Amino acid sequence: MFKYVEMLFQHWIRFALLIVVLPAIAGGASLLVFQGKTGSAQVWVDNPSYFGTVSTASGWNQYLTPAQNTVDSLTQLVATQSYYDKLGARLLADHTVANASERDSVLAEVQTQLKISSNGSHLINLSVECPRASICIDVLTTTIAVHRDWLIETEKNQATVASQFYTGQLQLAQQRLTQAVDALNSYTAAHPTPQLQVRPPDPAQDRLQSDVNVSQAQVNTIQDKMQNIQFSMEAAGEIDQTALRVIDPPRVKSGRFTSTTKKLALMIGGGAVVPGLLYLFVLGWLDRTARNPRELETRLGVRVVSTIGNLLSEKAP
Amino acid sequence: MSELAQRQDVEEAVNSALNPAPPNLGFAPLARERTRPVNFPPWFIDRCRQAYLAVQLAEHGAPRENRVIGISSAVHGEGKTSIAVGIATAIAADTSEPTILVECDFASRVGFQDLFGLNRGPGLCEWLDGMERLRLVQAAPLENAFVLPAGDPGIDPARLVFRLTESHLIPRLKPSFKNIIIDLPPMINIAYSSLACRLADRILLVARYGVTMMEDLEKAMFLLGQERVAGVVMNSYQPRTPAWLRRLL
Repeated sequence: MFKYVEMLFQHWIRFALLIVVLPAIAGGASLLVFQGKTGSAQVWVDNPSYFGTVSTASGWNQYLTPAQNTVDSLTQLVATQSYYDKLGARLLADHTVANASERDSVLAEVQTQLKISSNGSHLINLSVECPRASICIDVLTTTIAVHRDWLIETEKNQATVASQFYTGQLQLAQQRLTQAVDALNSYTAAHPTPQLQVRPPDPAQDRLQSDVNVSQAQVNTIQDKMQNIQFSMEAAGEIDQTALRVIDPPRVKSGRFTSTTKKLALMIGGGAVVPGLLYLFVLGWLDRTARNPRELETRLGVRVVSTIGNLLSEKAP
Repeated sequence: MSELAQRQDVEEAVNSALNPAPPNLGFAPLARERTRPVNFPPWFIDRCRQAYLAVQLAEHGAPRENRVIGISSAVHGEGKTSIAVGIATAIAADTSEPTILVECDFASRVGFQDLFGLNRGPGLCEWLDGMERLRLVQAAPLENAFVLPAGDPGIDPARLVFRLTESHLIPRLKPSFKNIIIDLPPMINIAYSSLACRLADRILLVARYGVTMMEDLEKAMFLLGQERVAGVVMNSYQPRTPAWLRRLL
């Protein structure tokens, strides 16, 4: 170790250039080359219980906050190819990127640079680092819009499926009601009761009347559900607008150096130190001369009894 | 070889160096040969002092007869000779005892003649060949410090080192010089270095910061033997790492 430190100080100008100046230049140059912008947006997610029977929270974990659930769904959404297809199309349509190759490089950056995190129980932070401010704004706007569209589509799809299911159920219930009413009418016709006379207890007629009541209740229940589903389908768009509110619209922070720029500068600067260290290692490894009194004592097994400075320098060590 | 051991001129040279003849009345005193003063900074001498004080020559409590310290290194050019001179200067100044610095590195590029500004002349090699008397030169400005330059080793320094070990010169210098510092040849690539190292009781191994290879030091340690090496002196130690950081590492 002494040998390498000694080499470092002996050739300090050389190593100052290699280990300090060169990495500083490389890091500074990378700061200038890899400049970028950081865009951010904040979105408020409301609790689905505010919307009564209409659920905007399909697939939510009941043990997580609305923000955490939305972050989870957003994170999964931005991992899909469909999202990137939509984002790419939007970037091209808005002329935010000049061509397909730039679009592809932006999409590749977004894959690693788009950060979604929850801040408290309802607030979501979205941030992204891009080469230009307009790209950041477009990416964030598109992400929020795609998520909203996805929510609406999901709600509508679920409502459609539920509607189809309950339509079948309603038909069955209505058939059963018709049958029950017909059976009751037939029985009543077969067993007429004189007017102004109290009807004696008749278990068979009571059972038929009960069947009619139950079938009617089933029909009513299913009709209520279908009304709710219809409401959901019609109101899904508006509900999702309310459930997912943009508090801080996408904007770009001032400053030219993003965290990625700084990381890159550090990496490049750090990488530029390597040749200097390698050179130091080679120099130290090649140097087999006696320099360290302690090493001498260890290797020779005798004490270094005196260290004498250079007579020419006229200075004691 | 035995004739070298029996030659009496060693004692004569030592006596004449340590006890110069008193001047006759009316004549100028016979000047001893002196070196040019070597001006090492005080901090350098102090660091050399730290090195020689760390050399344990005898067991704790046992009386110390002489210090015979060899200074060696793995290869040439690590500042071994400068440190040997610094250690000799520090010992001579501290102890006031007669101290001699012997140059046994016959292949050194920077010899005592250059370092001390000595005239080209005979030295240890010529004495070993039996051609000249032993030349002891006072190391100015200290009165009790002397140097024994190598002279010209010619083409066969290994033979001279072998003769040196056979001559028992160091044991014969011991009675007169309490401190003997030997500038030894480097251990690697010099065939006779292991032989020369036998002249010293303990050896300090010099390594130059940022120059000496660890593998060379390990090889030198292997050749010297760990038990004979008193320690390592790190020369030209100028770490660029701040002291507070060095303490943490």
